Amino acid sequence: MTAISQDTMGRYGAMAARARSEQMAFWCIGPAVFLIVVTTVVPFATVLAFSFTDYQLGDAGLNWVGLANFSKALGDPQVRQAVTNTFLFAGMVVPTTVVLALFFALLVNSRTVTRRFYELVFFLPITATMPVMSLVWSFILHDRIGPIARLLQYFELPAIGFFSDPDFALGSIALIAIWQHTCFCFIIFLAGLTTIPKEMYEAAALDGADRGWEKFRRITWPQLAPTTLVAALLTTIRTFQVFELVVVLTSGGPAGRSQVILYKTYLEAFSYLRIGYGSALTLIFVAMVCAISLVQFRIARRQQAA
Amino acid sequence: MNRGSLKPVIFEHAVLSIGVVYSIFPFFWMIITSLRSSGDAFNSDSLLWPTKWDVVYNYTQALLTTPLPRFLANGVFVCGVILLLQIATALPCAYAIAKLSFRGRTFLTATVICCLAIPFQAVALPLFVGLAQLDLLNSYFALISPFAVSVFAILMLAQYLRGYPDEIIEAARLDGLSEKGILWRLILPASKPAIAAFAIFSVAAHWNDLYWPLIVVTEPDLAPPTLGVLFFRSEESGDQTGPLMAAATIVTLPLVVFFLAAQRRFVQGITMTGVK
Amino acid sequence: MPIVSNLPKAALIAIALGCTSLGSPLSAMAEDVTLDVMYPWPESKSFHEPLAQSFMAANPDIKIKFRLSPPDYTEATLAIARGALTGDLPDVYFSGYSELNAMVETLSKRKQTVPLTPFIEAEGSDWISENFGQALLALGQVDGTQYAIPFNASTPIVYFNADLVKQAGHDPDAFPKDWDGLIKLAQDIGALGNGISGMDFSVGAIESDWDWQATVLSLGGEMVSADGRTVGFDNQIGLDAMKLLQRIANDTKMNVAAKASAYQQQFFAGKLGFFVTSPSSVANFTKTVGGRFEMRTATFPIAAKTGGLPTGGNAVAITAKDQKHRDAAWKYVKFVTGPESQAFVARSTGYMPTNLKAGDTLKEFYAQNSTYATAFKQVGFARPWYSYPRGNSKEIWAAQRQVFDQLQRGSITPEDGLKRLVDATNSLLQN
Repeated sequence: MTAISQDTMGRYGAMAARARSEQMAFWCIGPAVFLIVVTTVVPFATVLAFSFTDYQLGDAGLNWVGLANFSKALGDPQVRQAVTNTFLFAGMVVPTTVVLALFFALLVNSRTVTRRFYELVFFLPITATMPVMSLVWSFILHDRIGPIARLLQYFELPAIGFFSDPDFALGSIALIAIWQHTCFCFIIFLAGLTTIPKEMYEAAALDGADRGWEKFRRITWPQLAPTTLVAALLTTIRTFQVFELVVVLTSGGPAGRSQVILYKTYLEAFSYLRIGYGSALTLIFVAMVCAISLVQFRIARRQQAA
Repeated sequence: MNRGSLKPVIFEHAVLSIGVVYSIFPFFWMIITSLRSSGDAFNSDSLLWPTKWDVVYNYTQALLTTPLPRFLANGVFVCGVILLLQIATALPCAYAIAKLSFRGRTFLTATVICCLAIPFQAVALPLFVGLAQLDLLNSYFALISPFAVSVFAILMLAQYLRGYPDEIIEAARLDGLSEKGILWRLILPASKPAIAAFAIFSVAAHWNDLYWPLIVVTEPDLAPPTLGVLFFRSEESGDQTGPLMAAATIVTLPLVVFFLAAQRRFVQGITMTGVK
Repeated sequence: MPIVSNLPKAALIAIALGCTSLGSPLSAMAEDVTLDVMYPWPESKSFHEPLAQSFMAANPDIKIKFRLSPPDYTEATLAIARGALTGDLPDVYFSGYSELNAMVETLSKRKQTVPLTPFIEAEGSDWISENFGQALLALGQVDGTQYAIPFNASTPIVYFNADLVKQAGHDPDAFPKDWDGLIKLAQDIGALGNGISGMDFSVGAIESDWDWQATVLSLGGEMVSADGRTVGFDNQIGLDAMKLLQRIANDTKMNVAAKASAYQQQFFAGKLGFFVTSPSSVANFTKTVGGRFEMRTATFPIAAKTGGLPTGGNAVAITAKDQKHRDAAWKYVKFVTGPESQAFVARSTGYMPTNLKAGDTLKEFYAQNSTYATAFKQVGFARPWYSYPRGNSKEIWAAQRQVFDQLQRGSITPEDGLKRLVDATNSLLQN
């Protein structure tokens, strides 16, 4: 309120509208902000605090160690490998997922009779119970008896050790992650496509832009660009958080070639019980993902403003 | 679209079916395996069709030797309440971010994005200790409360509402509709497609979550659906593949039904947003 | 909101707790004790439930209530660590042998450990020696104190596809007892073609160093030096073990697996001659294989006269707070490790019984079911599964398994492999 009384520039009406908007916003965001603080900000602040200590799970006490955990993390070759792998993984998964999802969403969106069937099919992977699905995938990609291996045998191609070959392990996990995330992006795109008014297409058709590519370039893409960036943002975050697949399929092996940062963090904190070091790694992880997300979001904003 | 010519349509279906196989094959194998005897599961000579059926055994094992029905009921309740709370907290917040101007809006948006980057595993331990101190472990409250707000929902709905025409809101204000009325009578119905999409993500994620329930719950009566699957999974003494896949199929089925329900909202939404 | 309904529930519990602490001797029900029991591996329900049922039938004043079962030994240890943090421990807990160190360490920080010594002494001097062998009993000890009584025990055995053995021209009844014979057999099975592999012994594929310890102990070696400060395999035996592992992989053209499930699936498909794992799987594997081929088991090859095998499984510990619950818990511990219970578990899983008297009960069963009998034949070789101090075992294994992976792929020599293994282990052992 004080801010408004100092605001001598605006006219009374604008001021009242502004005050009303502020008040409404307060009630709108209040519950969400309170819950975010309680369920995320405060717990994360304790993680922050632990990252400066040597706390071990189950210990009755702890010591302040300053930045020791962080300098240890920077010098840890395993952490470096995990970070590299995570970026490699995201580099494989994010672009492929977004492009595939957009492509299939566009195709499905132009279907009428079979639309609901395709929607259901492309949605299915989101229902996956991962402990089960990773077992199923481990069989599908089994290097001797899996269906893919049989196919390779049939065409007399050399066998591929999908999970056991150091050069393939991360790629195989990426293949499953793409499967897992495409449906997610697909739904976002489909929801985005429904917001494009039909009139725009009809108007464009009058100008002769009713062919697939022309229509996409002139209407769909500009309308869908913000959605695409949100989809990319969410996929990036989800991809960086990969670890369940790694646990079940390779445990980070062979030779650490599928070790990812969050799995390393989990091992430190909950297998070796070093909460202090694990917290420091978590912090580094969140800082990294936050930076990437904010950059992506700024780009999205600029696109939308333009 | 080239109406009338059949070729591109067939081509499109062909391309789509490649995606269909990629998407559906693991589920196909899950269901097929749930129908045959465990011994047949890895029989490489009958990959695509069972030679030895064992439907009754697998499904009775899954349903009768574990408290799976109870777990499913827990899942319905927990996921339902979580979803309602998430929509109730996220929609107003998303509306404020997308359509109202207030101090701290940019800061709030940045905070929401950063919170999205925080993996749940990182905050699980502090949340557990907090709930333990309030003596709230082993309750539905413990299963639900950490997820009462979803930063993902806020971001997704805000993004969606940004596309909602300002003129309609202005016109409604001029007509004397209160802000609450705008939220309830304009924004909520208009957000249905986005809410439906979010509902799918939320319900699927919490239905299949095993991590958090195993931390806060030691009471078998409160266990989540996925736990029913673990009764047949063991690195220690070998998986019982048939009942395992039967349990997995039973656990997946309600999600498919839920999707079919949400899908209708999807279609409704399309007709309602043709307002611009 | 429906969730609020849990708040009164919490309040009710608080009131109820308040009442009991005031004490109401009026009710006869007050004599009843409910034991909170936690065991890892949800699928173990199949034998835990029936045991609890018969215990309750024999002891109507004690109720057994199971907690939600953690998915594996590690998760169980975490559950105990959380319970210690909040003072909400179960009364009875089944801990993996390799996790027992970690449990005692966690609980001793808050003085929550319950040594079993007084209970054992109260049973009289002969009770222990009549029921348990010293080697097995040692599995439940930490620093010489008995904290748990062995419940499930297993040493690695060989599972083989007798049909493939026959096809390769060998006699399943004369299954090889040494590595030379096994390697020859694997080569012959592998030569059958059609995607069939001879054997799999990918030491780095499993989640613990069980197979590696089996290799070292069976050659007569030790995991650590006598003072416990350095590794015990930095010697000729260690080098022999490394050479053996590489030879197995090279000579049999073994697929080096990243996960044990890979070769298990291949075995179930009828495309793998033999592999090594715990006898606890006999019952489940028999079901999984069905009648498609004849699955049989054989003892693990033990090369040295002084050789042994690491024992896996779990032991039952008491984690109850008060004496009344501890006394009831001891009754339960005695019951589940008793001859009847142990014979029952052995029959329904394949685990070897931990109770000496159970062997007599099982004689007839073993005579009729030779796949189950293999584990029992190896009882004499059972040695403790060494676990590194300060709960370091998992981290040490994470470093070690990478070396085995490269060794068996042939990308490093046994000499280099041993050096890397020793360096990595020693540096983790000392920090």
